[in-house]
Amino acid sequence: MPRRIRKSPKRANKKAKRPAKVAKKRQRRASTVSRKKAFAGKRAFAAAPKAAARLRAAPTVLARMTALPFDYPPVLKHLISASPALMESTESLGKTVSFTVAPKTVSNEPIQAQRGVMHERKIDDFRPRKDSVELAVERLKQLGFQIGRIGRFGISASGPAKLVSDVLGIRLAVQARPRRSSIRSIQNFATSFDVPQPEDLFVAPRETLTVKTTISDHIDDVVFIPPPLHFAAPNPSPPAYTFPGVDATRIHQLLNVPPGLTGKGVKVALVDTGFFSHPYYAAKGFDYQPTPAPQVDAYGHGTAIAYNVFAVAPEVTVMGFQETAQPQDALEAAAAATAGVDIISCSWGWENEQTFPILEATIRDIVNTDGKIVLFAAGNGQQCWPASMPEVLAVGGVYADPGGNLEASNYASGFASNVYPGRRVPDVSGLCGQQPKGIYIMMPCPPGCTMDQMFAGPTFPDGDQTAADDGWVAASGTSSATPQIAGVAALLVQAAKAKGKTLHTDDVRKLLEASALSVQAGKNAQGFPAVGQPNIAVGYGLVDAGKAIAAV
Amino acid sequence: MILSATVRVRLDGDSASGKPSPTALHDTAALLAELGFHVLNVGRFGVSIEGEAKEFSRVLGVDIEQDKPLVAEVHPQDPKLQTLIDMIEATPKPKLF
Repeated sequence: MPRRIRKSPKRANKKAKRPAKVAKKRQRRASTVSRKKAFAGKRAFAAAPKAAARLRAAPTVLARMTALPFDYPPVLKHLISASPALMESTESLGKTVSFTVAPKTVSNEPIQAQRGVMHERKIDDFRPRKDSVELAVERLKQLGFQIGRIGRFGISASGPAKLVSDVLGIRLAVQARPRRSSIRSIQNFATSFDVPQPEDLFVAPRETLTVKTTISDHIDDVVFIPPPLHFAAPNPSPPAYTFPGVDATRIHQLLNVPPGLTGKGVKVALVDTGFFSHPYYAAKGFDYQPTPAPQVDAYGHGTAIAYNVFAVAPEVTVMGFQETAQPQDALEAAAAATAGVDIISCSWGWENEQTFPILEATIRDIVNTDGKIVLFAAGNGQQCWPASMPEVLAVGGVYADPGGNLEASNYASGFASNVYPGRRVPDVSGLCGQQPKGIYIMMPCPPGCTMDQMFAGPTFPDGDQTAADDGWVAASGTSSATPQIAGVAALLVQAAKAKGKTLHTDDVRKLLEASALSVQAGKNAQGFPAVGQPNIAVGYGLVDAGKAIAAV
Repeated sequence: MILSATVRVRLDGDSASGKPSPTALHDTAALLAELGFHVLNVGRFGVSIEGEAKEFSRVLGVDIEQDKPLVAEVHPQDPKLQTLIDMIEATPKPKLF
């Protein structure tokens, strides 16, 4: 049986009082809420311009993004909506999207299908058919596109994003060019931690950059090319290092360059891998002339060794001629009367004294007929030609330690020629590092070039204490010794011109040999000891510019 | 694959300088261009050209390979070219020091 609970009078009274209590509580709560609302209102009022702007902007940005015919990857969508600059860039992409059209080719094979194998194919097979180019251009214009340029292999065109989407039947997605992190420890693992900049944005189809199209029988593909990566300009000042090396000032001292002569009015041609316009040369005010300019120097050798000429003769003109497939072509350009050079310096050659008759005749003619002063590097351990040609001035290497003690560089060549009886290489020497890698002189180079990467590393003597993409490399060899002596030759030419004299290669050789500083310690790369003067390791020794100039 | 080389032009009547005449050099360049080569440079002793390996073989009678040194006599099919050139030279990339 259920128990009936009898309410006590006290409890009943309590219950009777409850409605009043609840009412009071409700009243208190209402008043708190209204106070909170009032406070919030005040806060809202205080922050009104900001919040109101945000409230106004948020839907506007989203509306602007939605109005564009683009897809947005989630992270990029968030970044664009939060950045007026990125939003502006996106809208500008909406107005004009650029693309490249690949017309039908003469072989009927689409050029886009040759990705990765193009180098194995005959390039002429992929030239566009003339009629296809004309008809493709006509069709693109008819569809409302602008023609940018009719190139050798493709047609550049552009148009509003909506038109591109509609005509090609594709959805375009906003994308961002990756940026490499500047934090060295994560550079190799992270490519895109940084927020994109407006110029990094581009639009392309989501799945592929190459789109097949039916808009014309004369078009194979439409290609969307992302903006290329730009590498940060290198620092015009060399990075700090702790290995025992020599800088421009020390090279100047060790070669005993006298004050007063600077190479002004003398032109030195370097024939090498290329000459990149490194800001170091501009910052120093050097007359550094890639000829013709601009030049790409993927290896970095030419850009780097030019440092050595200026270290000795800061007011000389250095004309950088890029090497050619057949080397005499670049040499002829350097020797041409129009170039007007006095000296030609070459830091390359072939081992085992492998000779090439046309090149040999050309060098001999440049020395004997044109009267140019021609220098060649002796090599880094090889028995090298053209350095062994008796007509040229062959330059070897001497190592100077931090205390100024001199010895034959064990990185540099010295040998008796097997081709030219009685010829010994080198004639004289410049400054050069030691094995294993010759890391000795900090020189400018294109950021990320082969040399920049090859020598990069934190620990000497295997690494040059620089980054692989900083545009500085510490290296040396007879490659750097040779332009140093070309710089000394420039000072001799300057001194000779002042006295109304003309110097040829043999004159320079005699002046340098007669004044060179004897080096009687160490062994060269082939193991020949530096004993006596001259010796097979370093020739007559380290060049002494002051004494040589005094003898002009 | 496109390869390059330099052909040496024979000395003609005016050989006092030890060099072929400018006329012979330019005639050679023009003829080689006509025969399908791209002329890279007209030098003081010869003409630098580029073309397919098979073109070198067909026109000049020499086998040329990439990055392999070559110094050889030429055996041109063309009778005019026979009188103009005598040798071909292809240098591999030099070593940098």
